[in-house]
Amino acid sequence: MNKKFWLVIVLAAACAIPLAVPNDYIQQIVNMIGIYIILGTGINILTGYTGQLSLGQAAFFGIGAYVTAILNTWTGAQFFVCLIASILITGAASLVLAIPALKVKGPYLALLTQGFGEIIRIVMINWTPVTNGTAGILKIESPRIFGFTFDTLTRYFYLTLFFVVLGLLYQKILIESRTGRAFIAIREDSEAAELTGINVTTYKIRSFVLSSVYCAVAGTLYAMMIRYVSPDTFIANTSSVILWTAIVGGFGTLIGPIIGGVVMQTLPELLRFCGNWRLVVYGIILLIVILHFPGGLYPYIQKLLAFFKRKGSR
Amino acid sequence: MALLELKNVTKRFGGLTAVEALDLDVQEHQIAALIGPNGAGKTTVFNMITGAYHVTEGRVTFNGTVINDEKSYNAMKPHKIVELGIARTFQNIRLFKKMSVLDNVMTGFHSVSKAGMFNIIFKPSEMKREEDENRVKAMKILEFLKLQDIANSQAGGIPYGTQRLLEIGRALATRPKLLLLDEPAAGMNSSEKKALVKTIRSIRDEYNLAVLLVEHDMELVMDISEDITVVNFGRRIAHGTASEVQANEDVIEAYLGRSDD
Ligand SMILES: Nc1ncnc2c1ncn2[C@@H]1O[C@H](COP(=O)(O)OP(=O)(O)O)[C@@H](O)[C@H]1O
Ligand SMILES: [Mg+2]
Repeated sequence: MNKKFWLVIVLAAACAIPLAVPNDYIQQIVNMIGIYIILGTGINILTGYTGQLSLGQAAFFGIGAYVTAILNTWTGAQFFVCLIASILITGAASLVLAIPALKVKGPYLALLTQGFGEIIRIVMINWTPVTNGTAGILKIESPRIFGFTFDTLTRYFYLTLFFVVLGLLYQKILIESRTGRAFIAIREDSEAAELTGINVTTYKIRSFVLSSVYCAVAGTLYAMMIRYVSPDTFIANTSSVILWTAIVGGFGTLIGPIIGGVVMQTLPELLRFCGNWRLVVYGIILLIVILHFPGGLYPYIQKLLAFFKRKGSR
Repeated sequence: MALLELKNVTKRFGGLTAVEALDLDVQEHQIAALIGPNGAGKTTVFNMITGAYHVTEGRVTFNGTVINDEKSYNAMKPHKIVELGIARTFQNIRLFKKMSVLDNVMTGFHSVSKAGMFNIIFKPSEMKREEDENRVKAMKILEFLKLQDIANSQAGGIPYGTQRLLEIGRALATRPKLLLLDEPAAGMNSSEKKALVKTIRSIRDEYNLAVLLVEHDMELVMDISEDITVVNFGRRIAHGTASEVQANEDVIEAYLGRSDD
């Protein structure tokens, strides 16, 4: 009861966010936070809960965005058609990668996914007839759903928010289910998991494909918000930002991706005053976070909240 | 027909022969023991029974099904062998440390439940029902092991002896017909050991299963086992009841020669 009450409060507060946003520039950052929460949730399931490190999430994000861009500009396909195609094609691509990739462990898996990311980026650049090369794809339409067009950033915020909530909700239910326990068991001790009756290979593949589906949804949302895609967006750096989104908030926590999304998207903007030193300061702050808060920020925020609760009840 | 049957099983690691031409039977509802000095090959035998290792020669049959033999296409995957009804605990405890005690047991229900990733969307009520049922069953197992009060503690943080019990609980959740216990009394004090003997007996009766245990505490082994196989350097040197084994010359020599353990 109490939990539901808080959920409603938080949702209402989230819906009110655009009221506090002064301009489109900031609204776009807010929307990007939403997209990165979705990306962060995906990698949180794969790496945070299942323990499989991926450095290639940008590839799936990119496939989702490009499928959407191509389908929409070529055939005029609308949002839901693009979304479903994006999920199916990204999911298929991740399945093709997962089968060989998940036979290897730890750093090798990370290298393999990183390599895959590079391949996809090179395909985006060189498969010009389809992807329009380095110029990218322009003039993607804004989503029209049941006659309503999400053509302003404020409107787009609510579309993004819907998928953020859906993605987080699914993550919560999944992690607390039989499948989630299998994922965590694999992270904790994959051999013991197998000897407890879990088909480790299958569940690793499921986790991998599921995390790519989150990327696909984020990709479609991104393409139809920016209305332009180019290979520059889906580089190795994007993969690391996605990974950091889950790390900063707290790997293997349900709320972590929200904190990570906010931190990773606002920090570079807040640091604009540093001029040329911006990226250096950004890097140093991230290093401090990982050294001082090895479990991410969420556990500390939890402690802080508990502290204030105790103070308040006195 | 024996429940578990190892026939002429050999395991080599490169040049090292860890287990050699071993025969071992476990009957239904029996408490059997596999004993021998350190490095004799006991854990390796468990690893072949559970499918973690492929046998080099010979074959392992469970309930009439070949689960491991020298032809690799007959070797079953470990999770399939769990489904057939063999569960184990580990010499070096291998719990899912960051999960709660209850969730460790719940994970054990994996192979006997169904809910998948899509049930969340398409059959939420069915999934919830299965989850509720499993939670009740898991609590029953915890009550049976007297661990119900720490159900919500993190598994990695509970005392050592309790962790060993919890591993048994997780194994029981898979509904085994055969339970393999690898040094279940290691690290336990004498009162915990006494309780363990009782627990093993009552598990056998309550869950109607057979037990094969590896254990160094001879008092415990002689007290509880109906059938004992003694191995040394991977070979079987004796087999029989406690009194038969204790009178065996080779056994006395193997153990007196290594009075340190
Ligand atoms: N995976 C492995 N690779 C190489 N040698 C192994 C492996 N597992 C066990 N052995 C060797 O097999 C022998 C038997 O080991 P083990 O079965 O653990 O003995 P026990 O459990 O009876 O103490 C030892 O010499 C051990 O070093
Ligand atoms: Mg051993």
